[in-house]
Amino acid sequence: MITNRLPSFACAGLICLVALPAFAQQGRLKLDACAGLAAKASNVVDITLDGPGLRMAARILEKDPEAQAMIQGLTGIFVKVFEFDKPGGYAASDLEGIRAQLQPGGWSRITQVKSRREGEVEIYLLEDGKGGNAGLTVLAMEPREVALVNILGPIDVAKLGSLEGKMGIPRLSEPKVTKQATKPGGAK
Amino acid sequence: MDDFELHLTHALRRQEAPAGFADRVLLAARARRQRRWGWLAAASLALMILPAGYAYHVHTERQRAEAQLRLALSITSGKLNLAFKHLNAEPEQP
Repeated sequence: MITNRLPSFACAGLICLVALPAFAQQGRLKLDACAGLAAKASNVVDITLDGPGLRMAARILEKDPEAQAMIQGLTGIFVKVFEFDKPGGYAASDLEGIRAQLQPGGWSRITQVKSRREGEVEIYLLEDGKGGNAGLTVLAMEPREVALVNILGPIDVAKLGSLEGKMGIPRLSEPKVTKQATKPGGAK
Repeated sequence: MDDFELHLTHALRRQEAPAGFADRVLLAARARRQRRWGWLAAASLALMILPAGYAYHVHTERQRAEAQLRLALSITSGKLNLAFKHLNAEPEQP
């Protein structure tokens, strides 16, 4: 009797094994889906922090309770930054692979800002079904840089923004200081 | 005394050890003792080196993870602030 059902049990077990990682990393985007960007970029930064790496990093931040509280409960942090030699070195269509993944599956765009000079930033949140969020995705398309951020787990977006410039986290969005042209004294 | 007993007596007769036999035995025993100490020293060294190597590996992994986390958080907060800045800014003039 039981032996007749063994293939069914085996199939169910196999399905569970395949499906479990998918549930564990719900909302994880395939950042490799934008191969066009990688081909055009002059420099690519790729950060993957999940499982033991993230737990290890969380332990290090024991001295920074604010940062530790921020990353507590996160299951993955995935960041890809593509840098280009020339402004506009990529096309909007290069991001279609990422946008397609954000259409289904609970992601909702909360903010989209566009600037002619500084590009476009889109912020997406993954709803957890209980009124909170279970993930954050940021697409930042600047003239010479495209940044893709995919964070899984409950996250406070406002607090995350306030981390910049604190706890050894460098301030990246600081306005650049431009050298003022000075007239050489006495030169004619 | 029959043939068998004669053979037995001949086979069990006392024989002198060849010249230098005792020296060779002592030398072999000493060499074996030295080899054993060599193995013990190598094993002790390995026991000291392996945990030290593992600790170094864990230390570098932690440093790498910390650097990655700080960079990831700085990129994310930087981009979020870029969006917040534009949200709070006045609309650009055409």
